[in-house]
Amino acid sequence: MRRLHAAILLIGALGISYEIALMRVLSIAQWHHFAYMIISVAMLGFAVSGTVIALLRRRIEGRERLLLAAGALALSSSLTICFTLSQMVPFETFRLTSEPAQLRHLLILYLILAVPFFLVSWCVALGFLIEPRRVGRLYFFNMIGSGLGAAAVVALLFWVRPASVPLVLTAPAALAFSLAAGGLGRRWQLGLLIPAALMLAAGPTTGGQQIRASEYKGLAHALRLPDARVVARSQSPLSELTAIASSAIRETPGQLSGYPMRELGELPEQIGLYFDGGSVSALSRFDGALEPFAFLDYVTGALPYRLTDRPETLVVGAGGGIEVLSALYHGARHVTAVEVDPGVHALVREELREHSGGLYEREDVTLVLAEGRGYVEGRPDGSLDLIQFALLDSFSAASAGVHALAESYLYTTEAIQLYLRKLSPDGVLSITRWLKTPPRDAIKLFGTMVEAAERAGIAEPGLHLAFVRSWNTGTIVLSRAPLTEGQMGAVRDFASERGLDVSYLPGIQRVDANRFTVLDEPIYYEAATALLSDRREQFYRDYAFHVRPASDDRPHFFRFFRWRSAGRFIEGARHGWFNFVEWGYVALVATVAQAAIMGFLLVLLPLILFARGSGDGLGAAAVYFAALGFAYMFLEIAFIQRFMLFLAYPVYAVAVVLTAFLVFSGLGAYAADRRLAAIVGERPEALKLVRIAVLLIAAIGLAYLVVIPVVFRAAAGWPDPGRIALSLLLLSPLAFFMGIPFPAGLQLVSDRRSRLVPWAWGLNGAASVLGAALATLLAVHLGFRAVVILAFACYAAAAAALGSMHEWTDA
Amino acid sequence: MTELLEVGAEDRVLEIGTGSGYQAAVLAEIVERVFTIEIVEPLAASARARLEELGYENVDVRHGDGYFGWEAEAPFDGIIVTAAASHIPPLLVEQLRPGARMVIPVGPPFQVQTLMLIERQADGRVVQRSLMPVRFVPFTRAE
Repeated sequence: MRRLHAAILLIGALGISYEIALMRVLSIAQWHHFAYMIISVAMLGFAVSGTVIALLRRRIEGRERLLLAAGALALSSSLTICFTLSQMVPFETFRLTSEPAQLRHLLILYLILAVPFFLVSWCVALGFLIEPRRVGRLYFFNMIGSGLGAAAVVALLFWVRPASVPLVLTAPAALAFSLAAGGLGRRWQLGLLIPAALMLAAGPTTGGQQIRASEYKGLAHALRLPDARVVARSQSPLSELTAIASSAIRETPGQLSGYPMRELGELPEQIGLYFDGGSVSALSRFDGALEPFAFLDYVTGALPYRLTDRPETLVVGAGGGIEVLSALYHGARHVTAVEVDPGVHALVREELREHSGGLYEREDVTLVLAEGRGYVEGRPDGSLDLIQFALLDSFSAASAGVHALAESYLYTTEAIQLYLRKLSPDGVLSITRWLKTPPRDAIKLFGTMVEAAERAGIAEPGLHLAFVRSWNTGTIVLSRAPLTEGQMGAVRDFASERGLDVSYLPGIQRVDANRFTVLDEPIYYEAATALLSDRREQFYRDYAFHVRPASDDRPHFFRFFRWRSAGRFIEGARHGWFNFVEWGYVALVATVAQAAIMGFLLVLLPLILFARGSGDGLGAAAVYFAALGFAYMFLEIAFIQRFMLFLAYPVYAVAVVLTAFLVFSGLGAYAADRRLAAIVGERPEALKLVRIAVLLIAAIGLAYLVVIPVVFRAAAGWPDPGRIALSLLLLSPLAFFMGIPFPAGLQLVSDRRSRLVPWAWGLNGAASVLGAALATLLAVHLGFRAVVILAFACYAAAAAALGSMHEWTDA
Repeated sequence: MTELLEVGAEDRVLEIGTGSGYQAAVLAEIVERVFTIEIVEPLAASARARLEELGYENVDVRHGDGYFGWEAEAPFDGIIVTAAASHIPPLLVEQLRPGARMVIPVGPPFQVQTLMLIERQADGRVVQRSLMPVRFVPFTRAE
């Protein structure tokens, strides 16, 4: 491997590592939906570098190696310098709508953070100019580097805080620089020595490694509580976890309704676990005595314990253990506590073990580190009496709608059917959600349960359901057997003793559904009865929010936004009320819009100006490279979302799919390059190669749509390494052929219109980042299958455009 | 919020979150006695001095955590909370006299919260109604 190739490999790895680390940083500093911003930032950097090189082509000629080395040097110091500068910008999402200066701060943040991405793209594009005859080979090294970088940064995040990643990346960046500089003459090497020493020293010394977190996040607020102190921290690729102790932390799983605190006592001392400085899960002091947890019988989530007797219980999303304590308080025979975040495991079992009283080491409690649905899949059918879903997201996250785009395979109709299968004949599924104003979560959940029950063969779901609410939580219970008279009486007694409203129970009357927390209309009752009747479709159509059930094809349970209601949201925002807005969705739409505008201004417009009078066929090249960028990202994002279900951890899915796609595409590019190298100049051969690749991509992709669900089901119980290996195997043929069209087309451009190479590279990069955001938006509205099919359409458009590019005569 | 309490000259009202003391002064003009709790000590001290200076003799200011209410003076004919709590503090509900009302913003800190009206009815039943979206400072903080 030549030095240039090694440098490009490292630079590819750095680009993706930096992007993933920045997404984590933004999740901690602001809110996680804001991490989408990084997509636009990366796009800005990529697009600008491609355009700049294309425009400065004449000045660059002959100095490519020097400029590449200089770019690598700048990259190595920019990683930390730009990160540190970005943390000095007083940007605050929360004030974006009320303080005009925030828009300026946002723009500054964009520009600062885009610099390293500019440099990554700059180096790779110059690499193509250095080796114009073997672009596929260079592309191979770039892709392999990116693939390995994705895997490496995820592994790194187990040990290193996201804020320290830029500093860690300085070392491989410096190595990339020394490799790139190695190819220069001695005079240039000596000339670069002093700036190199200065810049490399500047990087680490400016590396503040501190994240400027929003003062409006939960952790910032908790730190201002009386006697607040940080008692532990932990770190994983999923979250940065901070444990705060204060006498004023009083987290409850919903309103304590009718709780006689004078008689039964105050809440036990709590430690708040703050995830990424935002959402909180309480860890209560526990000494083995369950009496202090009587308050847990005064929340809606206690409902299922009135319908079961000493249940074999599964708690999904155990967190700090409040639902586990509730199960034990209510007499569960045994509790399996499933928690996805390894950081929680580590804290509860080690640093905070004394505080949690060894809760997870009791004989009647089993703690499992797994994603909820994946774990349930592996349980024997009929083995659980109660599946209890805790309030998985925090109150504030639910209020702000930040999960609007997060895929959740926990609440799809297929998932609910699965839970029903795992229940014993008298078993119950219980899900509690924070209630939003106007109502939406619980309504969607109720509809999902109704439809899942029907698909599971339950003829009259209405006889199996109960729904109880307080002012801020709603608990819906779905019983495998029809509710008995005794169980219905127990629900009514529970609700009236606690001052809770029964929104649905077989035979309930409208007048009984709105007694304690009085709504203008008993909307939950009306929604439930409509969803159980033949008015269901009409209800879905007419309701202001999107409340149609989520499915495995469209697992966006938290998406409620409807364009039809946009006028109402805007009206609300004009009056200063943002409670109607789903912020995650808005952030994504804003990202797509920004990326599209930037793509036009920074890529297409310069192209039009730059390419005027330079011959025909440029439109075809624009279509080709943009279509490939979109197609590639559509498939990548669709498969990341699809594999999340199989690999359970989102972070595994991202790392495995990215690595597989990039590495195997790199291999495809390499294979195609060897083939192309032999046939450069023979137009029909290159075109044939791309056409065959596109046909194979479509064939394999379509086969996946059928085969993957079957394979996932068959291998659901496999251990993690087995599932990861199978995923890599499954993805490799598709990714291999996806690696062919881009370098094949770029080789053609390099041979016939070499000055367009950087521009084609930038355009493809810009389309890729825009494609990533667009794929998410399309998946939300159309589902994954549709996104995959759209990707094939893009490939077909690319193949057609290539046909026209082959008509180019040599420049 | 004051109107929602529906209190009169004979009533005793608890306020959580004294702040400058303005709301306490308004209430003092209407009701017999106002009990007000402030968690930030300097604020409690300055409000006490200010109210004394202005001649409000029917206001008692205390530094403390309003989550627990003012048990020694309970029950109250009205409770008004001027900072947002994540849930309605159970002890405050218990300190309402039958027939009395409480007005309280509830919801997560810095997010959209709901102004709730809570009424302990004569038969002891507690009925609540959400009135409007609001945004108040958090209920508990050190300073």
